[in-house]
Amino acid sequence: MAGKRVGVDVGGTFTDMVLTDADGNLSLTKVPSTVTNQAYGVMQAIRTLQEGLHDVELVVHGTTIATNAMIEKTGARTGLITTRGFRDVLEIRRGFRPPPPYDLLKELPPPLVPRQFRYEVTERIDWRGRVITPLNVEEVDAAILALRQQEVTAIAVCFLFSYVNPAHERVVGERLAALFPECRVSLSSNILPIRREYERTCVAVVNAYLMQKIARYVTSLQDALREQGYAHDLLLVRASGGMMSQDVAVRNPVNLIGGGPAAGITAAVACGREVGAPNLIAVDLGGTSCDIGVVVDGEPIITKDRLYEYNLAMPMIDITSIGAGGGSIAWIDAGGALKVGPQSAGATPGPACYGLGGSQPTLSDAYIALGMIDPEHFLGGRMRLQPELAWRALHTLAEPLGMSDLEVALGILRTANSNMAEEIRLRVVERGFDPRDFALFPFGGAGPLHGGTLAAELGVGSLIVPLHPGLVSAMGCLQADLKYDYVQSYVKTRRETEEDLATFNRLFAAMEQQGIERLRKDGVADVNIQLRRWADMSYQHQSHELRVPVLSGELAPAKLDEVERAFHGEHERVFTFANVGDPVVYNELYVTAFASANPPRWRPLAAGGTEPPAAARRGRRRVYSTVAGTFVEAEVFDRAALLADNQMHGPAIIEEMDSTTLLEIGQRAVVHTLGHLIVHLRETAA
Amino acid sequence: MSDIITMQVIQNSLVSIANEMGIAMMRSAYSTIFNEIHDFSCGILAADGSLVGEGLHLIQHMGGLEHSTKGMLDYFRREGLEINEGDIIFHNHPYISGTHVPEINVYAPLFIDGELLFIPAIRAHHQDVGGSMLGSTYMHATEVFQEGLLIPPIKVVDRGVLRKDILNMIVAASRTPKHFRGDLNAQIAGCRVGQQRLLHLVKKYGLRTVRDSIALMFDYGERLLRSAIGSIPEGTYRADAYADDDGVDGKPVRIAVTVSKTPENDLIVDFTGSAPQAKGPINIPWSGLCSAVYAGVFFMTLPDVKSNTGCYRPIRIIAPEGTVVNPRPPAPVIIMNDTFQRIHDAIIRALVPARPEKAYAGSIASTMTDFAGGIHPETGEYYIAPLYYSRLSGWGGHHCKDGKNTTTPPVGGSALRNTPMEVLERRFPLRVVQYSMRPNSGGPGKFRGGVGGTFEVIPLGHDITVTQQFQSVRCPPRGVDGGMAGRPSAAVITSCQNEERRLPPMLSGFTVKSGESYRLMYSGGGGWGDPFLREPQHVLQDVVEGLVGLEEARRDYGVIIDPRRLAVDVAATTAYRADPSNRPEPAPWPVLDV
Repeated sequence: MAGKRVGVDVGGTFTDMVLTDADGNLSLTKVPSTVTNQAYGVMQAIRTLQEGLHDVELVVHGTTIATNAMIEKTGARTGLITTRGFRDVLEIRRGFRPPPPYDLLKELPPPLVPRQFRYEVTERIDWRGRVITPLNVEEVDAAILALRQQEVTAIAVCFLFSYVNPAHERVVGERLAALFPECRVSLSSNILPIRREYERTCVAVVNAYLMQKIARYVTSLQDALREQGYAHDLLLVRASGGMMSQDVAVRNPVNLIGGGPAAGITAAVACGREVGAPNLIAVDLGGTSCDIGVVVDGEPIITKDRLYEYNLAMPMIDITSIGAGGGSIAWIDAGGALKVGPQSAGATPGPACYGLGGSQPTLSDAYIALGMIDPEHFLGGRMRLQPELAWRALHTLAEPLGMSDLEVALGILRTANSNMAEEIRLRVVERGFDPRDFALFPFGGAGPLHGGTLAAELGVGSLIVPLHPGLVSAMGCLQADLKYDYVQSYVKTRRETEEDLATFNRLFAAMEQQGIERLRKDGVADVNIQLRRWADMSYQHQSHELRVPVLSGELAPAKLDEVERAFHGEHERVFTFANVGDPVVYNELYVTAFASANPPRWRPLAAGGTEPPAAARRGRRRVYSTVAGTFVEAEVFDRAALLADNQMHGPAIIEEMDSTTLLEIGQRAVVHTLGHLIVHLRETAA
Repeated sequence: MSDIITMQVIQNSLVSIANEMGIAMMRSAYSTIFNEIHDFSCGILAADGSLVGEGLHLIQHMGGLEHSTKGMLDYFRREGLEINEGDIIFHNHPYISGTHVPEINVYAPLFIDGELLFIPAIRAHHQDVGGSMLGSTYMHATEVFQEGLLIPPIKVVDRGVLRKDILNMIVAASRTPKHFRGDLNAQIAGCRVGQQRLLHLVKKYGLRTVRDSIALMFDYGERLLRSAIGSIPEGTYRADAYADDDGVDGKPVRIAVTVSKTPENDLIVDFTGSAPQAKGPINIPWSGLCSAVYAGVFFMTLPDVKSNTGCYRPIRIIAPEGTVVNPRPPAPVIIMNDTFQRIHDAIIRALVPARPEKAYAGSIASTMTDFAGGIHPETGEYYIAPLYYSRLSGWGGHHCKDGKNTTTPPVGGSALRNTPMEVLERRFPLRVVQYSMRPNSGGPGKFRGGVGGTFEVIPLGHDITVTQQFQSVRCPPRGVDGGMAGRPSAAVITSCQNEERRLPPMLSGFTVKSGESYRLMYSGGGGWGDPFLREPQHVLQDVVEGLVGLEEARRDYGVIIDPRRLAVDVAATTAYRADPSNRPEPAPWPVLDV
């Protein structure tokens, strides 16, 4: 039975939805997001495409609700129970001070658990897991009762070395169940059993903080879906780039943080697979921010050092966000130079050309002035932009800069491109890669407008503009694997591992068993369950770690040699040298259990030869070319009417409902059979 | 050939190139001091040594490369030596425009069509360059010669050919030669990345456009800074700051600063009146002084600056020779980073009347690098454990909010993090018994100084030898505008019989016996404004959080709190605060009975 599937992604401005049927037909919609309860927007989107949900077999949801709760501080009143002497680990944050270097006044937000809700109890376990001081249960009970008195509704528990020996944390869990059963509880050894007390405390606290809110949201959305006849589980997108069952999301809501951008990268991976481009620099450019992710050999780069305001050390897709987007405001600094962003006009008032009261010039106003977007066809003509307001806003900067209005527009574009290109370049280089080995994958409403220029700046090999660039994250929801991550701290050298291989093998096997059981519970057949192992490895006495794949099955010493060779190789790639012969340490062990999404197969386009059909030709319009340094006549195409193998030569403009693609002089786009545009850059002059 | 937009695009690229040099350095360095602590900085200099662009690294490093490079160029000229295409130059001599001895500058002059155009350079603080003490950090040095190998500008690569004998000689000075060699190679690799990217930039835009843009950039930097300085009212501003101890004499050392703002928006920063050069190693050479002054001025005027030589134009530094801020050879200099912090503090303090909204009260004095060594009782191997917990520093209060609690000190970069206890105990035979905030350590004020922290550790089954560079013991961070000083730092050994021994601030090689506890208590920041004017609810909040005691709330803030209801007794507070005899005596400063 192949029913319909729904992917729905809630962003700051729009809720995007994609619906596919068994034949690979796509329906799409974009509705305004509803701020108070995202579920309304989701149901609204569904109603625009579909009568009832009886024939829908799968709803996958990307939501920013967890991220928003962290930003707006709307989580639960949360308490913390921890080891005596370590009450302030959460607030000290390892002493971290945010950059930039000279700006000493910048501050971090207050800790999620204020000091009066942080309780110490007597207990101590050493690094081997031996109990040095037994847990004082009377103190535990007193702390629980005091927190209940203080009206907290969630409690996190984190003891030193609980990742080796969780016994004391479990006792606290039992006492909580007995004394304060209505309280939501997060034990650090359950959520993320890794070493490093600050990071583990953080994850336990954030998890406890979010539990109630996420539970309410998921329940209300699931109820609304059921009312429409949906009879299956709701799945949610997680930050590591897969989807998870709603009951896991409710227990471990910390995994939802960063899930929105992760869906976009998931779509990039899938598209890369479809067109044969395993290495991608994915750039999501929307109204307010530019998210950058890197895909290597068909896998997104994973990090566990992603710093939000709180350090979340679980594996997540590595995404960097910078303050650049269509709404970025242009301004003049005290030295007389033109700056773009990071302030944004947002959705309201929005860019001046929206006519909603914005008067400061933005990047979008520059697009209008330079002919890059058609004011009549914005959002498929659903919103008419007002060029005269764009020009008026640009004019406010012309005199102070001693430039014409047009030069101001061009200056804004060049500055924005330069900001983005330098940032993207550093992100790629930092991870030990060369941009020339990658294809650029621009998406989001504004991404394809900049793709050509950024590609040339970065020197990438090619450019891929995906099908429906403005709805990529919603498409990504349908392309995500069902996926669960498990981690266990281990911290032993190769020698120690060999002395006790049984333990090493048992730890992996136990995590794999957990994953298998979880996927079975989601109804995945055993043949479809896939398992992958990883280890974070380092040289002894070095704390920078590298993620290295570990072979499956029982590991004998010869196989460990193979793992180590991979580690040395990775060290050489990232750090330019390897200390072969130095003792190697296995730090954290990871298992990913997943079942492939069985992604929807989009219906291929009919082949149409190299010449685009007449129906796709929308005439010509003047657009500014950065290559020519002047306005040029460009042919305008309607992307929805293009056929497979059609070719277009720059200068050209390819318009669609949710985005506009700009081809520079010398660039040639070919329509892939699945609708993606493959842009060849080699012909580019300069 | 350029315009303000092109100038900006090229400036973006230049800063990005400097950052990319840093990435290359970090990636190929062997030592954690580089690939984790990032104790280095990268810059691009013009052929005359003017700074063109700089990466965003540690403020202790930034701002000094221009002086070092100009000194290096002068030296070659003076000695009649030529710089040729393909040369790589090393240099660390504090008295030839260097900083302290472990910081080695590597320069990679870039020639295009036979003409010297750029000098990409990296300054990096190496783990050990020889000298009397491990880590080249001898707290009681009296001459620079005790602090490690002195390197006048020297070609380690001559026209593209590595002088291996010279490199071997330099590496031989170190206690950790393998790492030292790897790190020096990383520094060269970083500079080479800078060369390649600069060549690409010139190819892309043409030499003329790049040159014109750089000239525009310098003027732009100058305009930005002058405009920011413009917000300081004309006048003369004075302040001083004290180092606890020079490591030899055991007495506080004064740094005096006078900042004058001229009608042309120049800022003259004059250190006349500072103490004569110290016998011990807290002296700061000129290149370090430049970094400290620029860090103080930029923070007070333009904290998000992307600096170049144009930004330095409005700033003039005066420092009489033979003082702690401009020593004559062979004065020792290794602890100059503590003096750096004092200079930074003094400049901020001086400018409080001019820009109160930008300033904060006194903050902890130093990077406080402690380390412990011992024989591991299980493996029998010698180990060195870094106990760098100065990130538990209390910062001074601001004019409208409290100071930061337990944070990396201002001179430390944002890359610095405390080593987790679970990592420390796994690696070394030590047990941490306390790692927490230190109640009542924040200086009382209308806006309280941030609280410092406490770190307490016990060696397990063996004795350890500890070297500590600890500050704010004698001269805790002072308050501003009626605010009081933060509680001083203290280092205490508690014997198994529970007897406490307080230690002086700078001490090399003392023993903590098995089972004894070694406790480091970091000072809180100074308060801002009269503590009797602090909002009673804020005092109550501090009491609820346990950061201020009930008794201290009454004594220091004049706020009476009902301990059972945890509420402010408004009437009692008003009455108490109205009686002038209730005003607390300020604590003695400096504290000399340590």
